[in-house]
Amino acid sequence: MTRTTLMHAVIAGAAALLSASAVAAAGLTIQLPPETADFKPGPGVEFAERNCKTCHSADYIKTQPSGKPFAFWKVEVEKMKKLYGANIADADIDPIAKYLTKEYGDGK
Amino acid sequence: MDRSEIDQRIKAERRRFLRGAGTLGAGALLGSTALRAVANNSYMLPIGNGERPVVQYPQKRPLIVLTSRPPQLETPFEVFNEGVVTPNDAFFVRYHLAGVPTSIDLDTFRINIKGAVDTPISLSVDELKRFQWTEYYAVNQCSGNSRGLFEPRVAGGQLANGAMGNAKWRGVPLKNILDKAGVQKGAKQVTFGGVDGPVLPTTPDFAKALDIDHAMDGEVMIAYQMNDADLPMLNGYPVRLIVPGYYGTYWVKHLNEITVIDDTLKNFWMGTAYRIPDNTCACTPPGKLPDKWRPIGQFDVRSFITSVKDGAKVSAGKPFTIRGIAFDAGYGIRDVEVSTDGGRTWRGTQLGKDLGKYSFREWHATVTLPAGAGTLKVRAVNGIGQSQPSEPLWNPAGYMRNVVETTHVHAA
Repeated sequence: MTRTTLMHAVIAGAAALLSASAVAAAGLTIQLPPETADFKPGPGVEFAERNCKTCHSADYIKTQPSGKPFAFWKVEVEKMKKLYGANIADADIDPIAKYLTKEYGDGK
Repeated sequence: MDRSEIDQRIKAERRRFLRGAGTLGAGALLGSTALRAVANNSYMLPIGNGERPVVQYPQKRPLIVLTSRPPQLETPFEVFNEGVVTPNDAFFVRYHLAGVPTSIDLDTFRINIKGAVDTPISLSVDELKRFQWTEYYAVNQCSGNSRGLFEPRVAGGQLANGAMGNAKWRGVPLKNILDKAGVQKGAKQVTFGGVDGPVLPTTPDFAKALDIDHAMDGEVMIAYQMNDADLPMLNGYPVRLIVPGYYGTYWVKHLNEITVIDDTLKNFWMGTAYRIPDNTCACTPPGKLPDKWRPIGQFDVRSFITSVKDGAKVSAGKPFTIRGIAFDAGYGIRDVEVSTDGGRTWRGTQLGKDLGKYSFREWHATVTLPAGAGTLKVRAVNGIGQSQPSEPLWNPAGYMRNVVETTHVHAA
């Protein structure tokens, strides 16, 4: 190890100690685990993939009550657009609701 | 949000996240095997479509995952039988919007008190801790706790009974901070905002309001400790609002904006969401909308048996002890009663130690059951005579469930 490298190593070590203590003293950092759900494959899944996942994971849909009709899912999709400001094209609303009804609803 | 450094950083985080999300979307199908591997441990909630993954989040024990993004975690009901205080690592987690902070720097974090005040104040957590502190036990419960048990089912977070918890909170009464800032004449409400926020700029940022008299009642608290420790990140680190006796929607996490206003907040979160039928039962006939709505407010009365699981086998003809918890909005639990004959007759129970009017109250009783299928029921009455309905009440959003709980058992 040359003297310059040694000096760099010492400086780096000191800096690491300093930054470690600064982090420990003043704050908190966490790392969230990976998502655990995905959309069921099926006709129209691409509409759900590109619209719903911007704001929430697929489990929000997967955990909704089973067997609900198209009207239930359409209300939810419209709620996301109108109340939660989701950037869903009008032309995508029915295809998303159809996919959700088929895969998570009454299937009709 | 303010143009403070921390908010800039959150926005940067969100931009980074959105870029990442695009990539994730493309690779989502390829990644599904890895996703399943994480979910090998699961929990069955007592509701239709109730299977959930169990995952360990930072500063948490393995909990029931309702949604990964934003993180929403339900406490396994067994935890409520471990003790009357809910451990921090088991406490439920509820976020609305996926702009969740994963890093808070106390050097830059500030709580800004502004609006209709004589002197706006900006407080670091260290500065907050120099104020006289107060401490009490209080239950936090999600408005939609038990929504998954509604019949007919309603849309929303599908929770069983585990979106509640009881903790000892330490912090500074909001009144003391507002007094320091000097609330101006004509103030009507105080609004509260946190570091967490929406993914999209078009989504209404989360903010809640309390009427000025409520905000100044000396009990509403800016808490920096939970059960003698720092708040876990997912429960609002470094400070959250504590509104004892009120549903969790008001307990704003990562609290960094307190604004006194001379008006009433009519944003999405006060004016559209979190509203209940404006009548005495806060209920409507199943499937019907009410004529008038009001913002959700105080808890109703609830009680649970924690020591016997639904479907459990018990000894016939032999006395055994059952126990559980009860709570209300802070009028205090006066009585807890149990029934072993389907609610025809009721008998009293022994109440446990009183940890304060906003806390879970422990109770226990000795019962004897004849052989065969049977039920255990529990109901509580609070200090102003409020109790629980024998049949569930319904409302369109699935809030405030408090039916008398029934535990089915088989005695042999």
